[in-house]
Amino acid sequence: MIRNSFIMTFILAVMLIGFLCGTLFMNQVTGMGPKDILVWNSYGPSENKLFTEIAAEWSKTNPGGYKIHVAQIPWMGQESKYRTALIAGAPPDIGRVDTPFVPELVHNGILEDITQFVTPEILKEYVPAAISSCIIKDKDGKERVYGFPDQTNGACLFYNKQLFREAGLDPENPPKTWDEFLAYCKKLTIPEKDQFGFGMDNSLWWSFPFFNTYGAEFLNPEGDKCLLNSKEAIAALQFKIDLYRVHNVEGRAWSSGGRKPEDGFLNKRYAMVLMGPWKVADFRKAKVDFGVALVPAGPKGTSTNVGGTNMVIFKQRKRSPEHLKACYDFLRYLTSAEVQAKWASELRQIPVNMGAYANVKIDDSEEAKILSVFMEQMKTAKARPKVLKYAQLELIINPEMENALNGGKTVEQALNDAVKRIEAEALPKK
Amino acid sequence: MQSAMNVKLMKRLKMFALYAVLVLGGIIVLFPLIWMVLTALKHPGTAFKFNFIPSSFTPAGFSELYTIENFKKVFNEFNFMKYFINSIIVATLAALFATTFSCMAGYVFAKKNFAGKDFLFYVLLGTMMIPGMMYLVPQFVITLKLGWFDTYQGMIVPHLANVFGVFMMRQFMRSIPDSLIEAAKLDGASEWQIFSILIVPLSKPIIVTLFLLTFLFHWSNFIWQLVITKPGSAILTLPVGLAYFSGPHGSEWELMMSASCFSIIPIAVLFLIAQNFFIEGMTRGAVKE
Repeated sequence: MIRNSFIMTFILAVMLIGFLCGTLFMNQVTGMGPKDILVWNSYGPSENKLFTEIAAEWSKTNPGGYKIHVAQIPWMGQESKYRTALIAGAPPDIGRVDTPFVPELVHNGILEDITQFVTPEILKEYVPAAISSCIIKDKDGKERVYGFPDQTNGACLFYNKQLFREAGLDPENPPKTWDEFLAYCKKLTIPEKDQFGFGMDNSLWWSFPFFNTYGAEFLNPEGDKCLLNSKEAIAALQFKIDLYRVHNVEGRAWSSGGRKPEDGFLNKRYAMVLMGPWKVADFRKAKVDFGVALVPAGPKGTSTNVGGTNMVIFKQRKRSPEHLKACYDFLRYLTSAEVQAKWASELRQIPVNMGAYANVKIDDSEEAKILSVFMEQMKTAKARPKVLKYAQLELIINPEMENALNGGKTVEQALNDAVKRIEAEALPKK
Repeated sequence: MQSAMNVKLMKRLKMFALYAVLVLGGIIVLFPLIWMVLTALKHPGTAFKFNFIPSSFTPAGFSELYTIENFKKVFNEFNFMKYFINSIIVATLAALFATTFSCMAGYVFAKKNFAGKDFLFYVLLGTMMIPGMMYLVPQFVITLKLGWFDTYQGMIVPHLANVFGVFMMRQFMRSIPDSLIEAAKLDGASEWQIFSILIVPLSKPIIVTLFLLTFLFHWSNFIWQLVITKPGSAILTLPVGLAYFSGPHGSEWELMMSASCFSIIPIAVLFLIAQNFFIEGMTRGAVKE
């Protein structure tokens, strides 16, 4: 017994010493050379595959002889990954980040300013709302360019053609205005079948299509005053809330425990939802008979929200001007009309470069039609407010909007209260 | 005769009611597992389509709803085995070392006397009040300075000081009578012999319990394993691997569930092997006898 315990202790001690000395499982960390460019992407498998091909192609053809090294990071937890890499002083040369993260990175002086390379003509090539997320007002009040958008998207109106037919509506003629939309909703709502005309999310991002189509501005040009209690914003939110409270055509998709819009649409609970292009493939695989249309027009026409990601260049302790130019050149190549046409054709995604619009080729005519609606919608999309902590806006506004949905406050009260808090907590002081 | 039959009937009814409740409880407990398996078998994009019963009970009817492609994809494209083996290495070593150290520290706090023992113990307990995320950056910086970025050491060592484990061990070991230790001393046992021959075997239930809990923690630890490894590293673990199925607009639930079906196997096996010890450890550590 004594012998056994000594043997066990000895084995454990040897393992521990070996382990701590790093001789057992040491994993070599490879360094990067002056002609290497490390890119972190958070793409899915098919996007990563195409991105790697594009990077390899550029590595072969760029005159400076630079080589792109692609590393895939998971989308989930990516901000923590970037933050810790920055603390370690070892960020990648180029990283794919969520658009609301960009102002914070700029504020902390972490990103390379590429304004010197970018002409107004270059900026005009991109989807306006997408490139807008890369143009950030610096601490000195001047706007500068920090990277390029690599992916952009926004919501469109998804409608179930089968439910349209059952309600006697023409599935090839979806609603074009909010008034028409409401009339359609009334016909499509059959409470006894647990079917509703519309299922809506209640977050700020998902409310932008309403605010934008009513012409509501979020911030003043200086960015220090919130305008979300304007009469346009009140009218927009009033319409959205009345869909549930007055007209009873919305199926409480926004409530906790409610069936989410995408799930309710999949299960024919909601005949119409606002949804992004990322759900098209899933709905088609699930054999949902659906169509996609522009967001119904309000007093200021059709518009939508904007999501997506940007490719930004991180500052490095030692970097030559040539290396920075090479990083910029790669991003221009990635977002060029030619490469974006290929990207959109293969992955069925909205190109960020509008020069690619005419060259997107998709064999499946139905998918081509759907993508063309999204591309059209992006022309009138409006970028989300560029504030240091976008998530904080959501945290402030969403409970106020839910309060209005539950009848706890009037729309005006809810927006006034939200604006007060946003100005006190989320905007820079005058 | 009549009353005997009534008693028998009542007994049967009671048994029936008991089994009915147990079966219902079983279904409720098993429901997430069944849902996981069914989702793993569904076609891409149909995870939230609430249709689990095939239109006909024929191969064609089943293939309309279910497929094994997700499992094939997980093994062929996702490199599941690499993540799985790394997780086994990390969770096993971490659980082994953390349990060993907690056992030693627990013994000292339970049976030894030294100045400031209680104060030190309460300071340690106080650290449990600090949210784990607060340690992320300091631990990361220290690990980096030790040159352990993207190594197994970096993944494991920062979590070896387990205050909860020390607390559990101390509470359990306090229930071991001091007279046993004194008897061992009279027999000439050294400190190390008392610990390894007397205390450790008597504490088996709590040791097994702590091993399982630590294993479980490291098996599902995501954020630390993510930040301490390089993207695409050869030592990535399962939680980080599974995160590749999630994007900005949702997750590939069918693939995630397919991988999860396999990832729960080690935990299930460990619990099955150690269930008796585990239950005993959970209850015995709770009270001082």
